[in-house]
Amino acid sequence: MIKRPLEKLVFATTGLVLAIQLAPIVVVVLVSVSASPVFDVTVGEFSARWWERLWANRTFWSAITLSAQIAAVSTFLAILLGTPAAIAIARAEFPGRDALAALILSPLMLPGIVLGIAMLQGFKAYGLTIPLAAIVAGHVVMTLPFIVRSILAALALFDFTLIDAARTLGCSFPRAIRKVMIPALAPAYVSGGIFAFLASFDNYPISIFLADARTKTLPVQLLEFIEESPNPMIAAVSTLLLVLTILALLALERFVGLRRAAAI
Amino acid sequence: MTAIAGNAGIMAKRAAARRRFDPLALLAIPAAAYFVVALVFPLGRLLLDGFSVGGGVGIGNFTRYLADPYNLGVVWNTLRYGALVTLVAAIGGYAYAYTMARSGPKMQMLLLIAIVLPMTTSVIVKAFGWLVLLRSNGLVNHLLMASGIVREPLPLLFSQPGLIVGTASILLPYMVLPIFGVLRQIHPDLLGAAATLGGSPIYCFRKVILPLSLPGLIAGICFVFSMAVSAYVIPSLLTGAGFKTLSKVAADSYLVILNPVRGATVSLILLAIAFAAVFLAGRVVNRKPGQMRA
Amino acid sequence: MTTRRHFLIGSAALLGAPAIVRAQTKEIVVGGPGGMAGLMRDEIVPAFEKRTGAKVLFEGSRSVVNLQKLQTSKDKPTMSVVMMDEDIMLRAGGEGLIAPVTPAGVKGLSKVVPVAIAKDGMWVRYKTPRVAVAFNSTRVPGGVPTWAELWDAKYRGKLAVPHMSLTSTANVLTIASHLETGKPFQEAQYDVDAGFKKLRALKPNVMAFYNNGQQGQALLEQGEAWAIPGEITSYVLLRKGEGVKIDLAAPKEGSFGIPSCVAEVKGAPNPELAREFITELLEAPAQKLFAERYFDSPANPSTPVGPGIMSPSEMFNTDWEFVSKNRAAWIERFDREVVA
Repeated sequence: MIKRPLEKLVFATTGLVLAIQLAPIVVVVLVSVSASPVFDVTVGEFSARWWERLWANRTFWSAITLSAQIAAVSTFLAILLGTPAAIAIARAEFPGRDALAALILSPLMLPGIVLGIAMLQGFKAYGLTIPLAAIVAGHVVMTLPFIVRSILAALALFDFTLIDAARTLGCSFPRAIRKVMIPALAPAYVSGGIFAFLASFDNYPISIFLADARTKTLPVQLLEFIEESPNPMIAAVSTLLLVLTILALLALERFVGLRRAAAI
Repeated sequence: MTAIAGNAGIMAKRAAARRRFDPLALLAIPAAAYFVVALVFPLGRLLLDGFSVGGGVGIGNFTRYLADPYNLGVVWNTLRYGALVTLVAAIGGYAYAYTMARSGPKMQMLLLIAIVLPMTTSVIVKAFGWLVLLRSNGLVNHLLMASGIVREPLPLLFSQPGLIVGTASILLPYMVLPIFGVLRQIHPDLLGAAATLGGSPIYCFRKVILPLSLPGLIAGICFVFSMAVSAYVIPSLLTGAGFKTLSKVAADSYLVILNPVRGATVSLILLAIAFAAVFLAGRVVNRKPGQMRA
Repeated sequence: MTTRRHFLIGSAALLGAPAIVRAQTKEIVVGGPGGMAGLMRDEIVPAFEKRTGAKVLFEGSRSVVNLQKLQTSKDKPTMSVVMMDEDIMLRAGGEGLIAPVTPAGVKGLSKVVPVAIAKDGMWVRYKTPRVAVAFNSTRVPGGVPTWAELWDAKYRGKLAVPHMSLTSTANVLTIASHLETGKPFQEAQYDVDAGFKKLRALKPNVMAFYNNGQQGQALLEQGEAWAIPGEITSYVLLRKGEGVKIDLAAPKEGSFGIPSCVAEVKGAPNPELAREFITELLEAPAQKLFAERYFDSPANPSTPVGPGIMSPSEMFNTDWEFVSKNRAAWIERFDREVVA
């Protein structure tokens, strides 16, 4: 490939973006082995005590499991609801279509605490008092925008005549969808799914209003740690999440073929 | 004659109605219904407060809020912040997504991991990390002074450019992945083909790549703009209390001064602005690809 | 297909979980500050559970979140005891969300200093953190002897100052007014104009006004900020004890008390247990923990305290009702006159 000046500029920008993205998390990793009680990097001196403290903290482990479960269920439900909605918005002509597309993004447009208070009061009015169910119901609202919008973007380039072609060749409609449309949309599911999962996993403002003592999600737990003492243990938590994320992405790649799905 | 014409008119109307009723539209019902129940109703209940004026109902809260030049400044601040963050994220995110799309599978995986990783780190922890880097005796100032670029440490914290770049970097993944999603669907030869037809790189980009990738770009813009104008923890952590946006005022109304009427008023103004922006963006993306113009 | 079915069964079990775990023993829910969750979990709750055989669920969050939860479940409260800041407690009291406690119900009440009982027993100030000047001891080795010194040119661009939206800033306003007018705190706290005038004069020394507490603390601990007017014992001295090079001054002009309060929720499930729990907080073992861990002033005067812990009566007790009433206006004024 001939490196044109424009392309050089693009690659340079990418390098800069990469540096800005990675710099703070490199700091966080270094802070997790800091010898100081302050959230700071200590040069030439390391300590494993924040990791030991994290390891010994039993509430943290249940929080991370709970958050992962809530995020998985919310994402799954959002995919079930979001896929047909995205197809309708992309393909059908109906009044209020653009408004619906914008409405689905509206949970992202308000400060989280406004949604948290609204849901606390609204769900109570419905008589939905099981905290875990309320949290999932709220998180589906937060995850749906990412699923719908990601699929919508991918559908804009999808050639729907391919489905008719597949049916002409003898595929049933569901089979045609599975064989033709799902693979084309797989990358959108990967990116939308990642966004949705993390939107739930990282949600504080809705969870804090809907959670109780038995349903302490990770962000709620993390803020408790910080308010108790802003020491480098929170850096150890973050580092652990980084490692788990890498493992999850690699596992996705290994078993689902993320790269094949995401790289044509 | 008139009867036939009238009949034809009715027929045309019926045909139009038939065309308008597209069974595919029914697919939107579950999600729409869920949104009404889980979002619109609870939020509506809360934000109805915005219309309560001294025991009655009216729009006095909005007109009063917007009549104050200081508050108009807050509105303007919110819009400027949202627009600048989106612009910076769009430039950086497009470049990153483009590089990803043109990379080999291994590199693509690495770039994907690199963009997803920072999302798992909580914003507070990330802000602490930046503090370590950007404070006056931080790493960046050390590097700048050691290389002789500056003599005195630069005040990198609490600056407006720092706020914009910082927010854009937090929201960047929401720009990168949707753009990447569509860029990959564009055949790799297309760029080459367009180039051999004699266009300059910028011309090809503008006439071929950009229009095709527009759905992804607009999805990214919608994500980033919405999340920037609604952010209230991020600006607090990056610049402190000196920077006021509508979302900050709304959050403070509920969390600090316990004034739900003010909170609802400001939330609705914010919602109206963001909704309008996203609605307009949606009108562009919802056209068929052939009709799209950048 | 099997995996998907398992997944669905798994999620159904997850959603139904609380119903299954519902305990047989009596239990109460206590809402309190998130920062206290560790101490509650490790010390206070186990001791209480051992003594009473009941179960305590501690929900750690912020005062305002607890207030919201109380408001929404007014008809059928789930929380029995609520621990909040005084300004939020005032709101809860005004809305009839909490029940007054009596010495007959809460045995521990007879053991606390009179100033700890608020509004004839509407709530109890179970401990009182002290508000003063926090400083980084590497940057300011000599400490900060007076509040007035913060206006000195040597602090130019070195102060992190909490925004009016953080509770302790009301005390900073009083001290500013005191320095401007020379009036004692009792009168100075009402002379708001003088306070704002003096705060404006502080601006050249301010590196940042913050409204996120963690941000101010990180600035101080990393030495970027030299001092913070309006930080509290339970953060500063706890961190000092962990080896962080920061300290809380005892300025010549005086310090402020910013009470941590506890109340029984009106119509609470298991009210006797709720009162028992409030007593638990006021008894010597818990009070000792508060003094040792947080360096806050105990409400129970029989508690042995280390040096440097003032008694609640040595600190100025702000008129929080006045603060609460004017807070919204002050925030707006702070934004327009001081920050802008």
